[in-house]
Amino acid sequence: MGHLFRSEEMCLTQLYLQSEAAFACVSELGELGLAQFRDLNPNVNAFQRKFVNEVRRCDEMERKLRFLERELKKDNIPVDDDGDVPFAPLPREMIDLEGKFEKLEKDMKEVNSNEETLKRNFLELTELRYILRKTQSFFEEAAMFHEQPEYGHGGDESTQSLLGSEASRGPFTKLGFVTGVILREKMPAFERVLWRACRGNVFLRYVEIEESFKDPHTGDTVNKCVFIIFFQGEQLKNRVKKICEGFHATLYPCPESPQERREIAIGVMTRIEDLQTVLSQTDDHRRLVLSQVARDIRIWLIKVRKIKAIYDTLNLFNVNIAEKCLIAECWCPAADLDKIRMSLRRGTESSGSSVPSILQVMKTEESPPTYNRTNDFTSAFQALIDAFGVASYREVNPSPFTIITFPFLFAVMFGDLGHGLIMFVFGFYLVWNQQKFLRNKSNNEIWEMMLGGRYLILLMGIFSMYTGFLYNECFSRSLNVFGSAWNVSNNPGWDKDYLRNHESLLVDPAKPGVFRGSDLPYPNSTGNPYPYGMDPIWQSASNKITFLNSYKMKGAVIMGLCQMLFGLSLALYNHLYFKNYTSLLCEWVPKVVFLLCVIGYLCFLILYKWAVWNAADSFHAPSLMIGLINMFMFKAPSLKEQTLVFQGHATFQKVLQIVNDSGDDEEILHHNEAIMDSDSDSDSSKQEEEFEMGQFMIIQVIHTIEYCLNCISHTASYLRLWALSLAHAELSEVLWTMVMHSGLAMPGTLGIIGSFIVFWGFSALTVGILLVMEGLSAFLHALRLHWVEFQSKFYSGEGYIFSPFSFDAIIHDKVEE
Amino acid sequence: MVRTKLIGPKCSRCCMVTSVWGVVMFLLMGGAYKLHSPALYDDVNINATRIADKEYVYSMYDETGTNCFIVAGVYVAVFFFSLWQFRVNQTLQAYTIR
Repeated sequence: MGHLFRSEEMCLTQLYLQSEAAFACVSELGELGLAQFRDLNPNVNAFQRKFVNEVRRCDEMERKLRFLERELKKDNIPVDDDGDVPFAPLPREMIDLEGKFEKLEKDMKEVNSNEETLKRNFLELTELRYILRKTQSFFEEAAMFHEQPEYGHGGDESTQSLLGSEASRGPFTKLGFVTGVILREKMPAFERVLWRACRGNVFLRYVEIEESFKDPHTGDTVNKCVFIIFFQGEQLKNRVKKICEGFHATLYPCPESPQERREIAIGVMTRIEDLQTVLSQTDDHRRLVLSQVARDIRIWLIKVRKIKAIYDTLNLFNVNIAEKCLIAECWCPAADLDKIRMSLRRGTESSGSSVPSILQVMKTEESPPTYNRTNDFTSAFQALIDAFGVASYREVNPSPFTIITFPFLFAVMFGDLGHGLIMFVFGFYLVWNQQKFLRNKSNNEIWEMMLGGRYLILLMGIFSMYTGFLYNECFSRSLNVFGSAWNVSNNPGWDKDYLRNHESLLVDPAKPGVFRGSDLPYPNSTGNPYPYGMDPIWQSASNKITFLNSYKMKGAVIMGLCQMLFGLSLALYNHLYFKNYTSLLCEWVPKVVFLLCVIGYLCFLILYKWAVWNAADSFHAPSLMIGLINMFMFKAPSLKEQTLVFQGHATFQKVLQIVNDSGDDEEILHHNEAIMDSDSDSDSSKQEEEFEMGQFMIIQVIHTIEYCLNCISHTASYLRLWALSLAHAELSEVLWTMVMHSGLAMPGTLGIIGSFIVFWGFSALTVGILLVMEGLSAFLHALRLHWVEFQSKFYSGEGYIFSPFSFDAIIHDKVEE
Repeated sequence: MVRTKLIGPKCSRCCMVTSVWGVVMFLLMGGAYKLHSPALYDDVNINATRIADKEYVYSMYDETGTNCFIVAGVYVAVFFFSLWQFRVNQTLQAYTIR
């Protein structure tokens, strides 16, 4: 059966590592990935462990690398990923790496802050430029108002100066002004506060800046306005300045005369150009630094993670300062002890230490972890089993059998040739391109899950095609491959008029020539029934579902019995391996006897009825269900009640009932006696023994009742194989008759357009409902049948999984640190 | 190759797969109709009064079969259209990465 039949044999070993060689040895063991270390310092705080400083340094390095990674992402520079995984560097290289990262971080931070300052300067200069441009119009307007009092001296209302009569009376009073820039959103509030605070004695004009700026600190885009405030007097000036400060408006000095303004504008333009050159050069320098980082950052990250993992593991060891060595305890597979010894030797050599590391196997009573050596193909199925419960140490592993039984049970519930073909093609596509897909790690979890289960999907597709062929369904239409065994036209008297007058007719296989069935007892027949699968004529029959129901239900019960018996036979292997002979005789044998006497008997009756009873005597065929129920009520099978299947049925059933009951008694009583005998040499008092006996008795009775009820209930549970396949067939049929039919049945050219359009809907619904929804549903139910009905016969699942110290797992983020 | 993008990368991929499926399925269905398969009886446009005329039923079968073949041909065109769009999307994507 190979190594997957049971979990691997594990042994607990003790490692004695020289202090200098410890790092290198652990590094080699990490590359190998076959040792699970135990924590020998469980009472020690994380901050009191020996290598806590090194771990802290590693954390610092990782933080710096993450900062660099963020900078790379900000600039959208792609990181080189050539799939190369470097070895863990030696401790002395750590200092080099630390220095390198420190320098890089400092460089980047400097570049960033410089850039920020430059951008701020640039922003200020741009705002100043806008101010100089926009305030031009304001000053012209203000100049116009100054000229007005010369013309309209107390005459026209419309020409009265906005500034009031006092300004127009005397000589032109010099107005003070401030110019600045403020966020557009704050403008209305600013205006209102100014009006209220200065009692309407200041004059505000503003205009929007069309260009939107980028805030250098936060990076958001903001819109700003240029404003100018005219006021008179020192007090108003102070008030205005305070309000501007409150609203975070930046004030810029702006000269009054146009010539000065023009000079300053030119100066500002040249400075802006200079700044732009400097900014682009800074950007280039930053990009250069980052591209150099991008080449190596992945390798650095892996190296740092490996070092950290090694120090974390070293923290688990017991430090013996006197002998200058570290003691470690680890679980490892017994078959790989040589490999581990080789890695230790390599580690000691590479560190240059003279003293070899010692590996010693310890004897222990503890239960070892469960390790199953899986490859790409079997790991998916093992994961299915482990999801329910990890196998106990060295008990039979159900996963190699699941490779076939799971897709088969899925296919029984999903059987459709067309849908199976689509699933097969999809699974094949995943498997064919698996190297490419595995390399590009996607963020889509669902895709990753499907990729992990690619072999599962492939097998489910193949098996679904097989059961689809058996059910004779391809997108709910039948295929006539071998020629139907029914001949409707052989019915005498069925001419065109007769057919026209009757909506539905009964095609009776007992009539000569209608069914080309087996030789006996038909007086007329030649040939054989449809060789493999359902006869295609059933698609046109109105009682197709009734017929298929009976067939599928009986098939489901037979399949259930087979799987449960198989589970019990695996339990036999377990009992023999663990040399649990009491369980074998007192638990296992009664279980098998009960199952065979009830469900095995039912299956025997099913097969007998299929083989012997035929269309000639079908009108008084026995009902198996009623017969089974009568058996439990101790009613003998009889012709009157239509429960007699064969001659001597009554006696046969009586024998089975006796065997059954004796099996139950044995299970309850003898098991207790056997357990008691095995405990009899312990020094417990008689009273305790009696108490134990009572408790045992109750537990055994409960277990017996539970098993007996479970036999019935699990068998009934297997009927979901019928239920889901019926649901799938019906959904498929409805989809065809409602969607595809409406397109195909249109006459002439309309049919072409109709079929074309309808197919889009048909394909979308097939994939969405029938493949995804029904597929997931059948997957879930098949999984449940395995987990509960199959595994409850033999599986205890109380182990814990082997999680070795492996760099592979850590690098690919499979392990939580 | 003309570089006008009409549908996105995912849509073009989806259209390619669906049109391949459509071509295969309609070719096989057309063949089934030409063979007068009784399983497809309900999907043929047969006038209930002329149900007894064998030649009429067969001719309707053949007509639906021809329709299916034509639809398969349309889907071949759809396949080439979506393949072209797929290529266009690929080159456009290659340009945006420096």
